Amino acid sequence: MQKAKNISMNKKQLKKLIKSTIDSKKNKNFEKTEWDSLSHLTILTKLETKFPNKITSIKGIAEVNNYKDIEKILISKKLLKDD
Amino acid sequence: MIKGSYSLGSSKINLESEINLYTDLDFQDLFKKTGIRHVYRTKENETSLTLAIDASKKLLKNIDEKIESLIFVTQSPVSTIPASGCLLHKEINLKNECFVLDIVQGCSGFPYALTVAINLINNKQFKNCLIVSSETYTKYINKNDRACMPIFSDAASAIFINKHTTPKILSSFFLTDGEGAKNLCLKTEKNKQKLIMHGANVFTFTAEKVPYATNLLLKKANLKISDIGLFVFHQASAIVLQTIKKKLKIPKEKFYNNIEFFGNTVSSTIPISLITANKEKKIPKKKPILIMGFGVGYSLCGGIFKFD
Repeated sequence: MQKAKNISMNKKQLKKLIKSTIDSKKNKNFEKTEWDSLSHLTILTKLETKFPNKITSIKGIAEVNNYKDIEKILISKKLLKDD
Repeated sequence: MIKGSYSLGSSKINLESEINLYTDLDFQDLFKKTGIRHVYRTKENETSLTLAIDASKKLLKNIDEKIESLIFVTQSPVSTIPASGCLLHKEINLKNECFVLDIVQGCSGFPYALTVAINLINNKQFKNCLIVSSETYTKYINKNDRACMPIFSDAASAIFINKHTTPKILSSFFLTDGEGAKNLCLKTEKNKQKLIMHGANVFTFTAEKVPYATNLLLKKANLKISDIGLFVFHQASAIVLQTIKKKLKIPKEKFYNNIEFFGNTVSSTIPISLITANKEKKIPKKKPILIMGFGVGYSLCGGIFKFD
């Protein structure tokens, strides 16, 4: 079994991933910005690459469309360090 | 081998030139996600029926048998009463003694039709079948719809099989999940029909179920990825295709992709892929091919077929 430290990311890394996907220049308050459909898909695929076979099976992940909610859901699935 | 033809909506759109007219999307950024450069849209006087007639007539010029069955796949019919298949039957002058069936499925529609046709031919119900798929989803899409406009494309396709060219079915699989109906559907707002797509939900369905269904098909046929000569999945978008390829570890050369040039033509993506792959001599003669359609419904249909 993989150790938790190998499958986790921290909040800084998650923020970086999301900032690089949405247009963060336009969305300065990116933590509260709702993602559009294409950005949402890209975020999911980037997370799926980081955590193979763990993201798309999370119930409700497709309903999440902002940073705060994805942070919460990833922490609950122990994929994000709550630091 | 595969006998087929296709017909595209007469407005060929280069998304690179058009995208900024209606949205604030950057084409290069968008292209990485969708993989689509061109889409085709029907003009006002074109319908799923006119496209279907055109594709069928092109093909029938080269067929010297009486058509004994017609399966018409469409979710954008010009008529439901009577069935659009009856209208197509008349327009392409088929004989009266003919099996005609409409299949109201979208992206999974062609594999459904192929499976029905093969089984009925093998059971000697009839000697041949014309499978026509036609969609005009773009008639339901606003040009400023960032989710649907850069993806969907209008087209029809026609494929002919007979008792001599019918592929063998090595395994087949069907999956339906009506819980996902709301995520890709047609709604009427202010007397206008509008296509609604919740891309992330459709994506998670696809990313989960397509690899699952593919592995099941392989298991049922006692085959491995390496035994398959070509994988022809519904051409949904680059992001979907890349995810499937990666999850299943399918080698690039066995993974068919032509989405850049046609866009997502719904029920015609697979037949158009079979036609272009055939022209490019990419359909292996002795190895099976895996075909799978998935999406609206949710509905998924796949099979492993061996063409002689």
